[in-house]
Amino acid sequence: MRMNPYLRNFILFVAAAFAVTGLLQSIGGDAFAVNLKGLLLPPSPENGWLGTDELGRDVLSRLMIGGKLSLVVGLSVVIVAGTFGTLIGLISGYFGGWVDHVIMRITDIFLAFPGILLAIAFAALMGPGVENVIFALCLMGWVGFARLARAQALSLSRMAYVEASQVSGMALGHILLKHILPNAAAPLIVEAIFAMAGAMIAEAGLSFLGLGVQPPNPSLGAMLREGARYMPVAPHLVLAPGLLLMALVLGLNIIGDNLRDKLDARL
Amino acid sequence: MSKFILNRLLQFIPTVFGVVTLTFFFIHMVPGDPLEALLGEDALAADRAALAAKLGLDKPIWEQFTTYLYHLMQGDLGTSLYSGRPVTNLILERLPATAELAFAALFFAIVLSFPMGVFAAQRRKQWPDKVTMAGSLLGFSMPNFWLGPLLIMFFSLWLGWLPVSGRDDGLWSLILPAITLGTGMAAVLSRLVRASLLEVMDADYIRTARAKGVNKHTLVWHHAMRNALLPVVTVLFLQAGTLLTGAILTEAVFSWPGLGTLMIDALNQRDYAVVQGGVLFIAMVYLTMTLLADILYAFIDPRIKYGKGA
Repeated sequence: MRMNPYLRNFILFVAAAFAVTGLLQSIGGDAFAVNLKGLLLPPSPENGWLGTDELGRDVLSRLMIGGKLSLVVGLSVVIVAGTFGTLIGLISGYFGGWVDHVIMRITDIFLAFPGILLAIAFAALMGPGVENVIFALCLMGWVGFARLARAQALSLSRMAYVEASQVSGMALGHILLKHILPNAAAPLIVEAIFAMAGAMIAEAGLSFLGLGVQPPNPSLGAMLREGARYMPVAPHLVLAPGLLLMALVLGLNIIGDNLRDKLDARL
Repeated sequence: MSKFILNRLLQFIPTVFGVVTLTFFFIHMVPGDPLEALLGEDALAADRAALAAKLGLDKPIWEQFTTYLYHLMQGDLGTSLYSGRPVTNLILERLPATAELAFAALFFAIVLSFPMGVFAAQRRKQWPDKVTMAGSLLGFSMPNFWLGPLLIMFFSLWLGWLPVSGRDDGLWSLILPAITLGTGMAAVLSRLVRASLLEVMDADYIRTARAKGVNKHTLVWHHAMRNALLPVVTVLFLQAGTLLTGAILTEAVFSWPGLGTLMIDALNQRDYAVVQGGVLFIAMVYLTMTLLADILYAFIDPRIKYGKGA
């Protein structure tokens, strides 16, 4: 089977990001070993390239573990929220009528919570931990996919080829997944790329507020928060995690942006 | 037109009810015992029962919900479990600081994004367009809880020009938080201004004006901008609601004494009443903004017709 060209760049980027973070982590020192003789050392080849943090731990390897975590959270959210949201949206658009009406009112309610407000509240109430963060981000992430899939299914379900498959007695799942979904895939993939970037920023934001991964496990957001306290003496503790997060997010946004330009020929 | 507005208002009611219900049950679904959080693990059973009765936690959940709705109708968001003060008062006390920050960020975003968008649109596909659009993508990808510390590092610690945090130095302390919060919005707006202007510039009436020899400045700012601004204004309203949430992180960075820090403190103190009230309040502001944006859009652009006979 040929790979969807929209997916190819995305998969290549994510694979490369995992490979690079893994490789750099293996170059770095021990991410958890506390070394009170070498606190807040500046970046240099002798100090493990990126120096050490307030407990003398190696920043490079902590950074890469945090980066990988960020990628894992982003991917998980996109896979879970994307699958769920797309299915709900396809059903909503395909059936129309009261099913559509009820589902759309439910999405309205979720859309009434701007940005990561819902995720902040939920992560705070469920308690810290990666699973809770992923769940909280899925809770707000599925709506975008549902809306988009619904709009696509709404117009596709009136196409002659879909009507033909209905008349020939094909199963509902077959029509939705084999006939409608492939033709609705391009905008959904673009949404998935932006959603992954958004989920990675949101995860870091939750960790920054102390709601995500708990110490001693590193995450980019938590490293930023801890690093901000030592900003005057060790600026690398703030610069490094932010730079990595932005590089990953920017990469995804550039890929998504290019794909969107291809989809929307007007601009 | 009035039919459209009425329709939209009627749609608003079930959404508001849904948001209230979701926020209520959300808080009650969570693991962890608020009584334990307030009284500690080894509290006496009698103390627990007394507090439960005081907070109404001993009643069945549907009764708690109807009581909650009844109080909500009167603008009563409950009482803080931590300080014992009305949540409505706590929110209203913090609101001016957040509103100030949000307006300043909005101002910064508009001042930055409009010239950027126009500039890029006028030189479409040339290097100024590419540079501004790359800048916008960068701004869009920049987490505000990183931009904030960067600005502090540069302007406060190295140059010593601006205060590091707080709200005690008037306008000076507002500058860095406003830039931090407004950058993401400026990135979104500049793209929108560009796209919207490009679309309008293709219109027949612009070609006519150009053929008549209208000079470029008048053409862009007077003829094209009026129509190009329509979608921008709508998004401005939607973004203004989003600013309130973005403010939570920005306020955390700058210890800005607004709604965001109120909520973060409440989260750390497990003060569910304040969290619930804050979430509901922000969602309501955002919903109202969305409603206003819709109505305004229909109002300023008579070409828009929503649904049948609206």
